[in-house]
Amino acid sequence: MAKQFHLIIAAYVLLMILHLGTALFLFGMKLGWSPDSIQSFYLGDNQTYAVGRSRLGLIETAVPHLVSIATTAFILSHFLLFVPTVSTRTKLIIGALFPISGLADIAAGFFILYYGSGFVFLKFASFIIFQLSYFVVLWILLKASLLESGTPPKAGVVPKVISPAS
Amino acid sequence: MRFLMSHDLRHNFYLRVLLLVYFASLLLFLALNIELELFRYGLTPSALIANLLGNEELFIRAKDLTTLMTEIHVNLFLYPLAQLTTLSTLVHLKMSDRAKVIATLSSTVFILMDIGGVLLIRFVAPWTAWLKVIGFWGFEVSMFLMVIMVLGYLLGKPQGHPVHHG
Repeated sequence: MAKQFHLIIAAYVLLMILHLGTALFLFGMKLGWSPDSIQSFYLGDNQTYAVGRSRLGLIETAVPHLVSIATTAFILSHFLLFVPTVSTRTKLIIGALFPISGLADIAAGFFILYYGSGFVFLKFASFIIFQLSYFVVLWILLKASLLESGTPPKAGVVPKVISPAS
Repeated sequence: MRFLMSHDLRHNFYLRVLLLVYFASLLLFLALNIELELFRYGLTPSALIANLLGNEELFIRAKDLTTLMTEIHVNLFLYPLAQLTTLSTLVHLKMSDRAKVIATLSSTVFILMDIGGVLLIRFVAPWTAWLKVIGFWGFEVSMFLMVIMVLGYLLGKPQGHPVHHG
């Protein structure tokens, strides 16, 4: 049964890598990769007649993303429990960084709208950290599901017994 | 990766109810997704081509890359999530390992065909509409069958003895 779980997780991770690719693409297409383009996306630009975001527009994006980021972070991070070759400390750092940077990414849009363009850098940094941590989790899981089936745990790392009845 | 699998899931009444409600909702998602697909792209190759490449006679505008990527971004979150949860429960069913591997690989390939088909029709060749049609219906039918099997399993009588903890 464990072998089948490896395949299921590998398939899921593969599809989520594509998902990450679409996120990067959409960020580049909609917001752009420069502080000026991110600022004009949120606040508008008189020179190019670009219209800024409204509160409703931001909420419409934030609500589904809060659910999807939390769900994806939870699913992927909980799979890390089953990877004995990664230390608990690393799991904790990546597992926390992933959803927190995602939350900061969403919040930064509101900060730009309400508190000014100074938060453009928070938006950019949080998005990059979010995507990097997302990629690191996916990479660890892909490697573990394809290459490390049955690998003994690292010294000092005790695999936990997960049971539905516990 | 290391997993520890224990007893029949159905011995845990709470887990059983949770999964039954979840998979009943998933059936509803699969049904409504057909209607969404009908309105968004159409269910036949000719409708797909008209909706993606545009049709002057029907006053349909061609879809731009950002719109398509946004739709793909959402589907790449929802489809793998539905697939992962279904396959993770399907693993507990008494069926051959080969059938489980085929279920995993085929549903993954169908998702890739469905996602990739949209871009292929729009930017490569309209005849690839068949890929998208097969991908979408393959995903729907394979998921529907798997969910029905899982529901049958969850409604069935548990086998063996429940595991007592503590």
